[in-house]
Amino acid sequence: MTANPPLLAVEQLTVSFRSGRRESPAVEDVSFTLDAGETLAIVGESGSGKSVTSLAVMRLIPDPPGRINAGRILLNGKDLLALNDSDMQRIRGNDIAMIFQEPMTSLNPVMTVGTQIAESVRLHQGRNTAEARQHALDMLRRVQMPSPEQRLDQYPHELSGGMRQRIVIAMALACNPMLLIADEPTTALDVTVQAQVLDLMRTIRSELDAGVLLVTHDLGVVAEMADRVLVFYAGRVVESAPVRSLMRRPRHPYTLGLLGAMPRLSTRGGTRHERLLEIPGNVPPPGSRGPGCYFAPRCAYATQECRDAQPPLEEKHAGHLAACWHSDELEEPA
Amino acid sequence: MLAYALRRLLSTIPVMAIVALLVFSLLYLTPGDPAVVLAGEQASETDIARLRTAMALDKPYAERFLIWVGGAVRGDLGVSVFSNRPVIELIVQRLEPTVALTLGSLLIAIVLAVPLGTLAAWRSGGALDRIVMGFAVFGFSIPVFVLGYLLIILFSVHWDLLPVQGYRPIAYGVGPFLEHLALPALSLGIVNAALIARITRASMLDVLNQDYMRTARAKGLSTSRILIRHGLRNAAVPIVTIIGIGFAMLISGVVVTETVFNIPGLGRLTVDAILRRDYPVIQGVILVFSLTYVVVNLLVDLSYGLFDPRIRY
Ligand SMILES: Nc1ncnc2c1ncn2[C@@H]1O[C@H](COP(=O)(O)OP(=O)(O)O)[C@@H](O)[C@H]1O
Ligand SMILES: [Mg+2]
Repeated sequence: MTANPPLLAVEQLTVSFRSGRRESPAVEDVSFTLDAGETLAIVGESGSGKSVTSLAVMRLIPDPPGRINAGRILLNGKDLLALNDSDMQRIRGNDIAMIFQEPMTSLNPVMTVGTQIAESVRLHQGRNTAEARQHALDMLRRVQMPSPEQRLDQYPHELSGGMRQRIVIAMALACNPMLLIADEPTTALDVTVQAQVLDLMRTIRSELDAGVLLVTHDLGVVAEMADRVLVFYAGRVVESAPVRSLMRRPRHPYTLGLLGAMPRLSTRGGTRHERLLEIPGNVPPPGSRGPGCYFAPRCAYATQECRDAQPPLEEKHAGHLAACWHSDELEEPA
Repeated sequence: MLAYALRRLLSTIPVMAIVALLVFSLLYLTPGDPAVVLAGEQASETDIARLRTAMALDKPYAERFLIWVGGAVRGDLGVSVFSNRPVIELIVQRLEPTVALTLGSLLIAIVLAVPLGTLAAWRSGGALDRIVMGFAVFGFSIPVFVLGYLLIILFSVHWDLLPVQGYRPIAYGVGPFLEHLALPALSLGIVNAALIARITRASMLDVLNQDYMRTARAKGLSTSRILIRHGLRNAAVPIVTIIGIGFAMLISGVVVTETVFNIPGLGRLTVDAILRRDYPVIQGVILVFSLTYVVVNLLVDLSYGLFDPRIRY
């Protein structure tokens, strides 16, 4: 009996960056899977390796200074790291598409948005200019762009941040990808626009049978959007669980801290509070990490065992994995 | 855009007026009586007197200037003291070789430098980058006349591939025209190529680090399309600017190159006129060079809007 392979399987991925003579890992031994139709969120403080992981899936790690040292990235069972450049180009923008964080800078300033959306359809689906333009217009309607006909021939600088992010989303969806990677799609936007864009992403997700890898550092977004969550700390997965299981009973002290830092209501007095960094201390830089758990220096539960040995990522409950020696001692979030 | 073009065109008028005033004053900045200067060393007293009335040198300075400008605007740049022929006629006769040389070397410079600079940026720090930048330093430091003689020795004397010197008008056949143009255009083009390659590389390096270039890669575009369609257009404004500036250097390069390769163009006309102290010709040539430069700058300015829609006039 052979089960279908998952849409995406990342196996023991390690990515490092070189600076001078030192090569330090940004992502270490990361494994996860994602099925079609599923939304998997990656959360963690900034610098924890979320973007590096998503760029690695696209094979867009800037090299130099970056390098994928080890691991496999399987799309429907096919290892992307083994492909040559032109085969990878056929997959990018077609099977896998990406929404980037910065709508202000991720669009080409000297090309009309219509051309930018049409570009990948022409490339991957061989459509002619007129067809591709019509398709771009359809995409603009799909991302609920106001007066779409008029937008086609506008340049990015003529549009607001929210509209630009809709363009970025339209570009990503243009070829109906089976895997959509969204790296903090709403972080750079105003709160009201954030809500609109999240709404849009939800609508699109329900129309699309794609798997979605959603990178965010906002647990409010995770609760609203995701099926499962990966919690990253210092480049490693420390917890992996279904959203409800994670929210109900986190099995890693770091996640507990994140949840404690999350405001009960996602809005307070109209503004969303960004309080992820309220766990005391900082992420240890790669050079100063001991043999044990990377979170130990900041952890209230840490013991000698934690400082001596890296805890493995183990199943603590059905479908709920955590890398902690003291999972069972954690209190439920207040 | 059109309104801006017109405004920019109008704004060149004061620039040209100042140029005209300086060029006109050239004659009066040299010591001595202009009539004596103009008439040359062997002129008799009557010659000088005749010249003085013919050129209205007995009129006040401002009036003379206006008379001269009025003529220049109608294409009358006076008469050569040496050959007694209208200056404008001499210039028109010598125009073709110089235009061919200038455009040819500009074409060579752009065709060489833009792709090389782009590749150097794309592979920055690598072997290709070092080779291209090495070439740029070499091209920029070697004087045009040295390079010209080197090319003659290699291509004409040693390999006997191309004519040593001279010029063939395009009307006598494209083949001979190109054969004669190749070496001078190359030796003049290299300096500019070096300059343009450096700027292209710097500008592209900046562009390659931009987020939208990563977006372009994420779409699955090929490297060449990313570099050309997404990269070069964004990098274009500094490149076009340096091409415009390089044009000014071409003008001085033309004088040297035409001498080395014995090309009967405006550069040679200038040199000859200076040696003969043929002031009307000197004035005419400088005026033509200045006008060209002003026009090129105007075109460069106007082209910015074509490359970058954020530039509004
Ligand atoms: N282009 C780069 N050059 C050098 N180091 C990088 C680069 N991109 C990422 N890194 C390293 O990888 C780490 C993780 O970065 P990233 O994945 O962007 O974090 P985030 O979780 O905020 O998305 C950073 O702390 C940094 O050390
Ligand atoms: Mg990031």
